[in-house]
Amino acid sequence: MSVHAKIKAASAFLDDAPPGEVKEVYNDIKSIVEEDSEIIDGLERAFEKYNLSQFVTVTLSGADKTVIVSKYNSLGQDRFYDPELGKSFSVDHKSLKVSGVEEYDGASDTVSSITSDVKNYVLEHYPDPSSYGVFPQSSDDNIAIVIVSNKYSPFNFWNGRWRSSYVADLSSGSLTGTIAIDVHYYEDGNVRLKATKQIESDFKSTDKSSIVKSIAALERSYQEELNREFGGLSDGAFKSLRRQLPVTRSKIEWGKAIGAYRLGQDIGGGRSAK
Amino acid sequence: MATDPFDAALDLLRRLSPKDISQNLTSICALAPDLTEDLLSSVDQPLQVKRCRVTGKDYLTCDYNRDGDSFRSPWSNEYDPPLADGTLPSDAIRKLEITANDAFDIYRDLYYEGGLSSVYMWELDDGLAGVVLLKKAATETSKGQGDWDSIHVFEAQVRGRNAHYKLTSTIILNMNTSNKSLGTFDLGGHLTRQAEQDSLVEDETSHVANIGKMVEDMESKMRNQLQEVYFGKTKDIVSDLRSLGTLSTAREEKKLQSEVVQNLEGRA
Repeated sequence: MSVHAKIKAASAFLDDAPPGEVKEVYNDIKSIVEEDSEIIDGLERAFEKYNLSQFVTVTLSGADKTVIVSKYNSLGQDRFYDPELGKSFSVDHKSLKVSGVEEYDGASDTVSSITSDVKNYVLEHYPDPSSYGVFPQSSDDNIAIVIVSNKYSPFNFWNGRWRSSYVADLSSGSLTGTIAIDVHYYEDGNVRLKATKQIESDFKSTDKSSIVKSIAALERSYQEELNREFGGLSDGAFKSLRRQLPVTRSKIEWGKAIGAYRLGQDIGGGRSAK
Repeated sequence: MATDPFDAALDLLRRLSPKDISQNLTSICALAPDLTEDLLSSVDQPLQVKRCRVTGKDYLTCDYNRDGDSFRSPWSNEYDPPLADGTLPSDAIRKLEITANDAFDIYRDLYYEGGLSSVYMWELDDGLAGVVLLKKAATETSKGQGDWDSIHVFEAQVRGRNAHYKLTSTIILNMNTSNKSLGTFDLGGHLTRQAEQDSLVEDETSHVANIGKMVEDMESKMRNQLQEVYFGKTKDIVSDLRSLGTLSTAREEKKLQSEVVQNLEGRA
């Protein structure tokens, strides 16, 4: 296997790291490749990809909020900006260390008013530690809204992440985005939930405050749909896989007489096909 | 301190998406070929189905009925592709294996009402060991899709008229749904549990009954745990990530509650 192929394989592991377990996955990779520096150094891009797609958060010294790192607030060359703080900064993708903090254009009135709506919405529906960002895109008519909520409980063997991202087009009133949920439960096992929904919706382009109202309604109905799905699978597919007890409502009489079940079925014209 | 590469590989497989376990296992083995044999014999993968060339009946394959690139059918005792010197159980163990396959076929019918089962056995110095495999798929799309694979590895140490049984059970359960209002919903993985027990052995066939009871109890227990983890715990974690109700209301209620408690305590 070429070094390039090895880096690709190890990068795929990092890409799939469960919420809050990147460091553990990275350490496992290092042990498996026996500290091969050529492979380990080749993982730099994989860290960047993970951070940008998972909306990793960093803290700028003196700031009272965390800042999301995403493609929506990237300035290129590992620099990012946050209009609410009016700062730009560099991130080391492996260590998540922030450096080179500089003043940056603050939020316009439009961005400020949407940011305040998003902030209030996040406070009401996303428990700490959650984070958000409102980032104007190339044209001021396109505003990206990003929300991330993490809950890590490694001592109870579970971790989870909720990510939402939207782009609101102020001129047309279109709202497109993605909601993604990733939950890992690993006490004496390994159970993973990955749920994703693509959003294509709209809001009243004449009313900026309808953007977050639209998002709130979408996310509410999605979460209700998810909750119904847990119940639906439990009562549906799960039940049809294995019964709690046989039709006889009692456990099996093991031993030499077990053949009687088959005999009984044949006589009674039971379920199995002859 | 560097972790042992084998332990690191197992830890990694416990973290990465369980539904990609076969692909991840292949990648780890490509990165560290020395680990291949040990990983293949200690990591449970979803069971594969093969058709017996002799009897035409389907059977399940895993590392325990594999010899090189061939798999042994529990129905005919033949390897496919054929092997001139494939490992076979002794006549006595094979006889027991046939009895066990019959018994678990009945068990499968009663609990799964479909699906497939296969049992493989081999000798140990002081007893015997084996694996009971069960597989069932639910494909009704209106209720979601599901796949259930049970892998029960057992060991029996025989001492006179008694046997000490050790059972390690893994159930791999994958469920998924995909539709317009929900998007894609992929919930899957496995749980592993162990049990030990001493039982009386009156004759050879007692082993089948003893193991049968253990597997039946274990599956009943694990079915409840799977239900709890998949549809209870996972759902709770999602509710921890986002609150359907408003958090300020929740905080108000909590504050009111603690005031009531304080008042009550003040009165007492």
